[in-house]
Amino acid sequence: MLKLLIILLQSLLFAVSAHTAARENLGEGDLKALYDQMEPSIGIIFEFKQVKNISALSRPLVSKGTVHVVDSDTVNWHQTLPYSMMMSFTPKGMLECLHDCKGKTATGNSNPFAVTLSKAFIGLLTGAPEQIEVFFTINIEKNEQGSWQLSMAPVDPMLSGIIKEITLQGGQYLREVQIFEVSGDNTLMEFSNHHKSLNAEPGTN
Amino acid sequence: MRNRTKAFLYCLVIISLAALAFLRVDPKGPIDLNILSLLPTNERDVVVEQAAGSIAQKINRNHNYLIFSAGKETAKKSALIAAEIMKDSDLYSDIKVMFDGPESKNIGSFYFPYRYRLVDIGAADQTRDERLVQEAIKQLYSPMGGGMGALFPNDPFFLFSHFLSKNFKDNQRTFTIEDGMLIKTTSDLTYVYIQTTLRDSPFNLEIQEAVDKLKTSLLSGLNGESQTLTAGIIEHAIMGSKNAEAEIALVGGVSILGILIVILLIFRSITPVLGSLVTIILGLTVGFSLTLLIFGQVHIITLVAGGSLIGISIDYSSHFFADVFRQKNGWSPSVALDHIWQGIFLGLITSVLAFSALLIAPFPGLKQLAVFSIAGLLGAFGAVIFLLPLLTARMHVHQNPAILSHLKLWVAWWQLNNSRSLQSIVIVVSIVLMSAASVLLKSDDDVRMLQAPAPEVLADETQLKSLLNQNFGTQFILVEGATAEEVLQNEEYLIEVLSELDWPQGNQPNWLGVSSFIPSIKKQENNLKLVASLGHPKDEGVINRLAESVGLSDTVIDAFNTEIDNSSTIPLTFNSWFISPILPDIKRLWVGDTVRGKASIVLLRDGLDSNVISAITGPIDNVRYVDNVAEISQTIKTYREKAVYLLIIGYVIIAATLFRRYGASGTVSVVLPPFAAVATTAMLLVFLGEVMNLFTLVGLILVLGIGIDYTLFYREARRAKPSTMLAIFLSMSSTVLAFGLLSFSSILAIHSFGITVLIGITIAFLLAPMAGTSVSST
Repeated sequence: MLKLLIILLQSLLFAVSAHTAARENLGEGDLKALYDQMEPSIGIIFEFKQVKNISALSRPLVSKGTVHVVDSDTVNWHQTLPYSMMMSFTPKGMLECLHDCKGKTATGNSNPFAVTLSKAFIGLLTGAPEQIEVFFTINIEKNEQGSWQLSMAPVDPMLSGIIKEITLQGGQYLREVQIFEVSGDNTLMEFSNHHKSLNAEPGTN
Repeated sequence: MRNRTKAFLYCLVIISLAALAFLRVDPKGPIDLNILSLLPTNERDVVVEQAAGSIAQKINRNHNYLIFSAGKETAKKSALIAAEIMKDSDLYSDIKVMFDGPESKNIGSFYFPYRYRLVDIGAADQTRDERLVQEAIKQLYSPMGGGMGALFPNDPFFLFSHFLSKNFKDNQRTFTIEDGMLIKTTSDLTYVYIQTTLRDSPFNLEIQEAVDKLKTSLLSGLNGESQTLTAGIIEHAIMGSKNAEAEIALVGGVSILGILIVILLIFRSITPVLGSLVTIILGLTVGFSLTLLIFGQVHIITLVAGGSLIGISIDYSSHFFADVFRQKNGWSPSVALDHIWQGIFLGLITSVLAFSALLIAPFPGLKQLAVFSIAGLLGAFGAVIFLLPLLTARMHVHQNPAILSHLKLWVAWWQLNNSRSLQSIVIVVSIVLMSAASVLLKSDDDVRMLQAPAPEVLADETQLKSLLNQNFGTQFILVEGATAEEVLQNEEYLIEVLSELDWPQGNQPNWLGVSSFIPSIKKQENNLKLVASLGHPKDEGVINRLAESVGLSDTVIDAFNTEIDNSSTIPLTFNSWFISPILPDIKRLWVGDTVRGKASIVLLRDGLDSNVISAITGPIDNVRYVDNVAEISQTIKTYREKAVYLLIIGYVIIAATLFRRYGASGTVSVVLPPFAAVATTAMLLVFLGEVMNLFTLVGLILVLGIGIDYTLFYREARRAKPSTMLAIFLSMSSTVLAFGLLSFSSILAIHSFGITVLIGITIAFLLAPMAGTSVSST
């Protein structure tokens, strides 16, 4: 058991690897072309509902709130249910904002793995394909109504020790993200009600 | 003993000396290029010295590269090619281009079993408990908590994640690992980091040349596809050596050439030129050999400054050859020698006395300079006494040089005007100038005057440091203890005290010490005790509160309590941490065994207020704040202040020696011109905007020594003879040529030395006739 955990930790720690092979594995369309077809996500606010199924817990963790894609480097995650919490995803890691995300007095998770995941998350939500291609092999499926499904598998063998697959679905906007972990845990994120920000939630400095 | 036998014996002594010196050469080579070896060593505490040496040796060999290109793939490919070229060069003991090796990967597996011992969660109270529960919940709800769920049953409060966040957030925050390489991408460029460790000291000349060649190979190997940024002490050392070589060539070459041209113009014969050349060469040979014999190496700065020895050593041959203008009817070398012998011997004694003063200073550089100069002067003196009479037996000089008439005019002016009242005026003016200069001349004792960092090297270094977020400076805190455990406990206490203050928060921590990565056993036991309290009382502990909030099963709670029990039996020992392959860079902060026990270093970030740190660390036992640059600069300041007393004592000793021979009035005539020269020079330095440092003082001591030579020659000649005037003129021109060139040096210390002697000697020359002319009572 301990050995398994150690392998897991190794993966957690230094599991990032660039992989150019990702481009070769693209399915029907190019990822950049897909993002180009979508509405620009910078400055957009949308609602989320997240359901996490963790095997060690007897019930799923459900949360709701809004996401604000501030700029290409900052995504603010404002959870309102079951309790209020604001987080900012930046290339430096996941920072917890104390009041709003303006201040610098944020604490959070900045270990190497958190930094990597934060970057991947920004890449997913801001539509920066180059950020995503670093971490995953991508397969795209499109249908005639303009919606699409994207499945991503970690390219690094160690990273793939934690995350089995991530699937994304959307049309004009990203609508759903599902993260399947090797341990059997999974997370479903649903996004809705996309609208332009009125500078309600400025980004971190 | 016949002259030829004496000459033979003299040559034999020099050859033997050179041979012995050759055998004594340090394995690192005859030339010492390390700027640090100029600094005093016996002034500091032995453990501080060991710690400073330990960290300097480790840092000195670091050589960092950034390979960059517009394309990411090109940059990565180039980095691999560059690493291969570096391997082929055999210059480095370690080349690291892949950063996902076992030493990084093992960090997780190494620390995980001890996770409950690594983090101080704080004393049990409601606020702490609430904070821990809330943080765990936030982590679970976090949208990017991938993998955390799997870890959760084995670390429900995510303490290991806290440990990693706190201690492993340096390079990773600006650089990411891609394909195992550390990479940073900006809007237009991608940088790949390569860390190397030199096999040998960066001050080894062969290493410097090899690194220079390697950089050329890299340039051609990368085919212009990528470029390199480099930083490390080696870069400064290479540039320093190049500058010093250029300056030695300039000072040595131009001054020899200039002096020989002056001799040729005056004597219109090749014999004095060759004779002077022999004197210079033998002087330098003896100086170099004896310095090597005593020190094993000759420092590059000694060579640069010692190159100006040429200017003094030629004095003796100048007096010898100038005697040709005294003996109008057929010149005899032995008569010339008899005539000048006493004057140049007294001159040698006073110069040796002046240089001996430098031996008292604890600066190895100044000691070397003193040994080099004293030996060189003795060698040159021997050459004049033993060799020149043989080499110049057939010398013919045809006419008096044109300069002589001008010199005669100058001496004639002194003849007319030298009086007690004039001397009194000179004394008063000199005292006024000296007093004014001592107030107005600003002092600067910064040790960095010993080097002149090239702007291009500094620019590369600054850019690389900013890209890598490397901001630790030369200041550190030394922590001591009887055992490793005690050192760690003392370091933990120090960091606790430091953390209580409000410090600027940057991308990097404000300090870096081993205890963050290997807590003391005492600390570990305490941490574990605090974590264990989360499971108590049974069924009502903080873990139960967390379980209620998120639906944690009883199995996880039981596993947590069992794990705490297991942890209590396996502390992380210092030895097992130290011998593990992880974190080699952090282990460099461990000084190890010292005369008092064990020690470690806590590095401090650049720009932290040294006064605050000094005030905090002062009262803490076994802890000592060391600011290398400030401490050495302070030592230089102390010795500058001491050098002033040295100058006064030197004056008094020389005056007392001369008093027996010349009486009160004669002594004043001999001592006054160099004193006036020193005073005027000091004031002129104020007007020129120069700063006073230890090397200015050394220059003034030399002005005193050489200036007295001039007045002695006039005094010994009884009246100003053309030969004396010419000899002193020759001496002055050669000294000015040699030292004047030093004032163009890019190294502030050498520049200060050069410009002081240049001005001082010129004034001493102009005032010297005061000693050789009769003094009227008016």
